[in-house]
Amino acid sequence: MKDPSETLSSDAIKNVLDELEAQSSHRIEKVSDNVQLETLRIEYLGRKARLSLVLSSLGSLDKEERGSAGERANRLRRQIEEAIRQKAESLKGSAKKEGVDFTLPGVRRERGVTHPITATIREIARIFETLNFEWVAGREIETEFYNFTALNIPDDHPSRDSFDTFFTQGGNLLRSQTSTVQIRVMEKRKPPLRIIAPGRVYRPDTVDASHSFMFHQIEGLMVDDRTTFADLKGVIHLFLRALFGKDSKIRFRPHFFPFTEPSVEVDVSCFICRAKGCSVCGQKGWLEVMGAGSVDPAVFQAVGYDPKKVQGFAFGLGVERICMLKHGINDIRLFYENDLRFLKQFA
Amino acid sequence: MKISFNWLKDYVALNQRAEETARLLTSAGLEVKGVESFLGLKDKVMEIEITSNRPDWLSHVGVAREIAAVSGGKLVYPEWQNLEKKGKAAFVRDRKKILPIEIQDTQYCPYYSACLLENVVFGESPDFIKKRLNAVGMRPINLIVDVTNYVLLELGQPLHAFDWDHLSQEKILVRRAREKESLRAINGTDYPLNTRDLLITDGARPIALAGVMGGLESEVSLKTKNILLESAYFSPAVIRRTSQRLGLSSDSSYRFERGVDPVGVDTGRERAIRLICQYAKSVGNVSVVFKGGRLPKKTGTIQFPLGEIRRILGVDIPSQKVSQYFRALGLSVKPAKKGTVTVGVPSFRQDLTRPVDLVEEAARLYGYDRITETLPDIEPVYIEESCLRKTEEMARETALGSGLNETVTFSLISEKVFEKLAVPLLAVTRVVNPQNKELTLMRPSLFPSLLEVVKTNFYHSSSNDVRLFEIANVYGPEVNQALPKEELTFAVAVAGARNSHWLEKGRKYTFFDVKGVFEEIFERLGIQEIKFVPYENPFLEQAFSMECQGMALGVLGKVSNPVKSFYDISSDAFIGQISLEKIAHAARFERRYKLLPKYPASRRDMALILGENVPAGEVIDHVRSLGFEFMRAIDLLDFYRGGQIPTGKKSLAFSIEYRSDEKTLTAEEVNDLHAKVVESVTRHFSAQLRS
Repeated sequence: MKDPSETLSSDAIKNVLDELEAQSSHRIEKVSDNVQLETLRIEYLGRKARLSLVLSSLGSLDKEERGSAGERANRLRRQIEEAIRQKAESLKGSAKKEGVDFTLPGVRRERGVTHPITATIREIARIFETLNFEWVAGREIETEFYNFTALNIPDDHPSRDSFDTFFTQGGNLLRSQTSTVQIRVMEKRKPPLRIIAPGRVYRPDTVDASHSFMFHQIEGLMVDDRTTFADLKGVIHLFLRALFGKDSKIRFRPHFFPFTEPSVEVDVSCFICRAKGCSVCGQKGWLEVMGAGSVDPAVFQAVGYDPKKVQGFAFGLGVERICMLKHGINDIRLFYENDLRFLKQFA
Repeated sequence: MKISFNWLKDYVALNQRAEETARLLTSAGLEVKGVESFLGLKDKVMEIEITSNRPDWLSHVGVAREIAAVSGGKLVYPEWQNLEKKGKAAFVRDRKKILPIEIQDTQYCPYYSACLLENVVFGESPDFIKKRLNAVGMRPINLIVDVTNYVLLELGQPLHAFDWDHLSQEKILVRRAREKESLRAINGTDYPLNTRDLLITDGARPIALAGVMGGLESEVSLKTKNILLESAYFSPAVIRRTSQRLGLSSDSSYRFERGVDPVGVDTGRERAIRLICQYAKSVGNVSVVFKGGRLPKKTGTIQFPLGEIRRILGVDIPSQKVSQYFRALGLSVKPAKKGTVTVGVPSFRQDLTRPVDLVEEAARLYGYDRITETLPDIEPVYIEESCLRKTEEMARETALGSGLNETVTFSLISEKVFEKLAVPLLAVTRVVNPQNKELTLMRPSLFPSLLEVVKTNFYHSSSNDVRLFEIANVYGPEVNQALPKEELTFAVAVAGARNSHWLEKGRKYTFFDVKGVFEEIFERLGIQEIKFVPYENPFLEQAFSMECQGMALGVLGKVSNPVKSFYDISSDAFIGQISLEKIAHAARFERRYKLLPKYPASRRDMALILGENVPAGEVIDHVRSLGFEFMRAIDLLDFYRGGQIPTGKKSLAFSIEYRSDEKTLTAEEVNDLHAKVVESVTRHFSAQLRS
């Protein structure tokens, strides 16, 4: 049985609803902590709240009034509920802001670092792969034939001076240049050929900041029935622009290699000083970066190709040199020491 | 080689600045390394790097000739003839003196000539000779020695002057040295010789190591009165061999081993006689030329198809231009049959023998910078990446993702660690001329190199966290001198501890940090059924061989204490390596999509208390072997020892997944199935279920 005193009249209902409509959202908005919000929630939505009283008093109204007042009361209730929910959300957010130190370091799955030599080889290989060159691997321990004879480097000849070589007990040798791969590939395959061959090479040099007895080279070879010296220039220039920047200029200087003719040394305009002259390029504006040339007919003969029918070019570059230039590394020995403080700089 | 500008001006007009001359020469292939000013001498000197194919550039006349060719100038050759007509010549040759020249081996020494100058009164050289020698870094000594050096630097022909009174004066015998013979050279060193060396002797005693250095005894000094002046042509290979073997290189041997101009042998001798007669205080008799042997063929011809220029270079150079370039270089050009010219090659260009040699000359003078860049015009080449390359990249990616840092270490290692461990090195390849005496071994394993890097990093680094990998070859033995096997290998080393993070505590690295890397590589390469089989390895104390269908792919384990102490490593270190070549054969790169399950899976946990010696792997294998269709997966959740677990026991917790392809399994069905699994496991392993 309901206590009649707890039933509101039609006018009273209207007053309550008017008042709630006018104040509730404003009061909820002004709340600054959860305790105040809970007090308001009880005041507006609790069992003894005036809105509950309104709803329970609706039965005493006539049918028409009941419909419109009920609708209004229910809409108001939903509005208050939503306002309180939103306020609670925003209070939660500000609590977080106050409680957490966002300057703490994030959690990282620390990835390992690729060795700068590997990274440089990959970068160079990727450029040539876009030009349809194939990455091939070659042996490191070789015979006299592949390292010298087939490459037109005769015994007892001064052209061997640049190729001091380690020999093994079994009378083999450690390749002193990756050009050996040219011979290995041409022996096995017929033109057209476009290959690059990265790998380790060995020369008994005294070790210092710019020399090591082991280092890396990338050999390139392109052989078919029409590739010319002008094509070599085009390919090398594209490559060096991709490596050192689009404005790079190249210079071909006549040189001598036993396995190419004409032979050239390739200079690229110094990317550090923009060819104005600096300590890295020795004030010359040019950096010597690779050797190249048209394949010597004697090399074709050594692998059983007809030098009248095939032609092409070969090139070779020192990976350490390129890597040192690109990163400003001043001591080649750092590459083989593998100090993590060095390696992690290339992450 | 050093070239003096003042000296050059005797032979060619230098109309441009020194720097411009240097640039011209560099773009012609004589790389000028630098230009230096000599204020006191009012001269400039270029340092030029001369390639081994161009011995003709190893003289001032040779460099002047190139400058004339590239700049369109004219070469003025130095006066060298000693005319005998009375009234015009400075002297008449003495025909009474006879000196037989005997050459025992004309392969070693094709040609030998000498001239006797008697009663020569001489002192220092004239100023211009001294200045020029000084400018190019050669110390003036006396007129006779200076003239031989001067002519060498002027024309490129090495000469030698003997003190005639120290010779037997009967003959000159050029012969191969005898076994165990030796010679004391001008530098005071005794050189032991063998039968592949060439000696100049006076019939009785050796007086010079041919082409390399004169003997001390017959050296010319200011006391010398009578001089025998030698000019010869020696086999380049013979001179090189001797010079290399003895580690004795001289200005003379440097030129002989590259090949001197055959014409210059006589020219050089006469030029020297002329200079001595001109600048000595007085000269008595000058003999006729004593000779033996014959000079090699001096000139050659090449039939040159002009089309070769277009074919090789990819550029058209008008044939008139080509002929002009050739003539500027001192070659002769005559038209032959259509499209071909006959090119005459002078004696000083022994490097030109084939049409392609002429293509290069034409290109050089045309200018490499004028050749238009093109791209090759050929059909595409199909490329298939090798399994080994793919495997290598997969291993590298996995290692990097696992937080390992890549190293690159030397392929040559020291044998010391093997000696220390008393491991005999039978099947290995060794280098006989190492650069560093310790590094002689082509490494049969990557372990020593990686441990060396661990050591370096513990030594240098403030961090105690060292995680490394390397991909490189290991080398087998040279069986019967055959080329050894080279096997691409992947190795991992982990030592120290992972650093703490505020959300995650640090911990020491374990065996499982290395094992996990290999497991992941195998998974990514689609290689299944890998077994870790206990194994003996001199470097490891908990060693396992990784095997797939009976084939050993590699090893891993904990670095043993003797090895750790050898490398000064104090914390635990774990290491492993696998043959990428072997796993490349087993690798499977393609992936087939499997339909995702239609019905949901349910998981149930199983926590067991088992005997200490029951391997988790056996429990998993057992559960799988039960063959329940709906049992899909079993994963180890937890491993625990101590605490409430009785001694001699351990706790293992597993999570097992159940799923049907036909329907959603009810909780009851899953529970029944799981109960059967648990029942079987507890019975089989005498295990207790942990609540």
